[in-house]
Amino acid sequence: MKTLSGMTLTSRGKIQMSDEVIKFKNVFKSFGETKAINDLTFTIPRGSIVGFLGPNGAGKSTSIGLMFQFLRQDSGEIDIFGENVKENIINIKKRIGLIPDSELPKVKGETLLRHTGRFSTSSTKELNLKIEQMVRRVGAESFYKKSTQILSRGQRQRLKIANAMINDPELIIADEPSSGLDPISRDQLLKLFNHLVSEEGKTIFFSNHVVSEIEQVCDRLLIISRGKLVREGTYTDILEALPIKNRYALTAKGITAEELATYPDVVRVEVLRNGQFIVTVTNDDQTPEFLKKLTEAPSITIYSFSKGMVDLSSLFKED
Amino acid sequence: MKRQITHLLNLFELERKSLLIIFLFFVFSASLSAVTLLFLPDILKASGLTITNLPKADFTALIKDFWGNLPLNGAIVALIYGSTAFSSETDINKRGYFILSRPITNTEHYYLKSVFKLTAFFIVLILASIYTYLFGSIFYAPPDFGTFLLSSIEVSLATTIFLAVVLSTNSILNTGATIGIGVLFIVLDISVSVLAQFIDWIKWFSPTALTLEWVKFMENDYSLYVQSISVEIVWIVFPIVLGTILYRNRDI
Repeated sequence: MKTLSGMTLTSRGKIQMSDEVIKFKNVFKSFGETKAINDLTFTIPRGSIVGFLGPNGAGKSTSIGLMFQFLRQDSGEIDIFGENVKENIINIKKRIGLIPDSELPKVKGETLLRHTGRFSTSSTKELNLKIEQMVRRVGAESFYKKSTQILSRGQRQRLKIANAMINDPELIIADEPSSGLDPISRDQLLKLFNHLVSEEGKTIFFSNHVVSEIEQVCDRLLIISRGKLVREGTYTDILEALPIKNRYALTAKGITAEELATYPDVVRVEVLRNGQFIVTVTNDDQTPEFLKKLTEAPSITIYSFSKGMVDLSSLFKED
Repeated sequence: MKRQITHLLNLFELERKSLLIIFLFFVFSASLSAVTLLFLPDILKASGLTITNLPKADFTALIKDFWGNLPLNGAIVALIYGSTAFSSETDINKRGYFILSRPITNTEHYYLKSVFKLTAFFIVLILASIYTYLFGSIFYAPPDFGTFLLSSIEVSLATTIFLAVVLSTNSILNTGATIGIGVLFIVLDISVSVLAQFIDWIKWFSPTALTLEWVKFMENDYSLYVQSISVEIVWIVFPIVLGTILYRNRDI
């Protein structure tokens, strides 16, 4: 994303005002002795999809809870649309939709949508129309009139998405939105997110564990660990800064991890499953020495080989 | 204001089934009182028992049975109705996030839901009393309806105190702890109501003792009516104000 004198050129090639939709400034939050959020500072520009990545317990859900004031920060400022969440939470909530990582209330899907939708329209006819449009958009037509208790996890997730979008919010905050979705539904969700940002100018902030999903759609990544922001930037920027160039994924037959470790320049071998290895070498040559040796060995068959494997533990580590 | 009305409308849609069940429970209780009272002599005769000094089967006996049992029945129903009001939203599943992500503050949600539940519970008790009046009128000569209604307001308000205490406790405690505190409150209330037989002023600290004031009102002695109603309102408002402060300062 490039900044041009007060304007922002997004990765989708659109020029937008570079105002900040979400702004965290030196935010702290503790639960007893545990520091859940530790001096967290970041900003999210309008019209972008930002991925919030971190291991379990990193502080992703806590940060989202603070934005909605479900939780109260110990210190620091949180502004959304330029308004302080402690002072103007109602104005803020009118403009955001939440996909929480929590259980749905025990009601019919339609009731949930009607109760949320009522806050933006008092006309029953308009509300019914909105509900119909929304359930069609998320593919929930066949089950939205049923009780949430009898729905599958994926179906419940679709209802959560419809619920977040029913009041046409400018900002959608999602806590693990793809959890429980099958690969096709996950792709549809990512496409929907992409559409909402590129065609409707919305901003999406979502937390996730799955790097590949975030990589597909996000303009920017925030990586959080132990309540602190450890990395920030585009996926490519973050990869550039990581020690990944000397990590290789190898699928081969006829060799063990112990044998691989004896090859030239190899410093570490991780076994993913039978025949699949992550090999770390001392340098990042185009054709590493160990690979040359492997190809020369007649008893070894190489099925696949790729360079630049992300080490998730290094992704979440502070520099 | 529109937001609050929308939230109340949502609450009504969610709670109407529970309220209907509570109403039916009290209607059943009142009907049972009436039928038992009416057929008690026949039941005893059929059983071969002879009991003298049976209470006279009239409207006062019927209402004494219904209102006499109301503090305990009402306390138990209040415990069931109120002990999950907020804890079910803030427990590990965080269902309340769906409600609280709407344009409503945590504080507004607490007091609107509490006021709604208290008002609905009170209305259900009044309606159950009116049902008792109408049903009882079939068998016995009823008293003046105005006198009966004023008394029923006093009795229902006193019973609603139990719900206020439960809702206040549930603002920060889980369901189990709320039930524990609720039961403790009922035990203390019964103890104080017994003491009130000997020390008159102590009745102001017991909802059960306050419900007994209806006997005077039915006899057109309204000297303590305003005082009773005022004390009951304080008993209801204070826990809700306290609950609102506690809920506002907690993490959900």
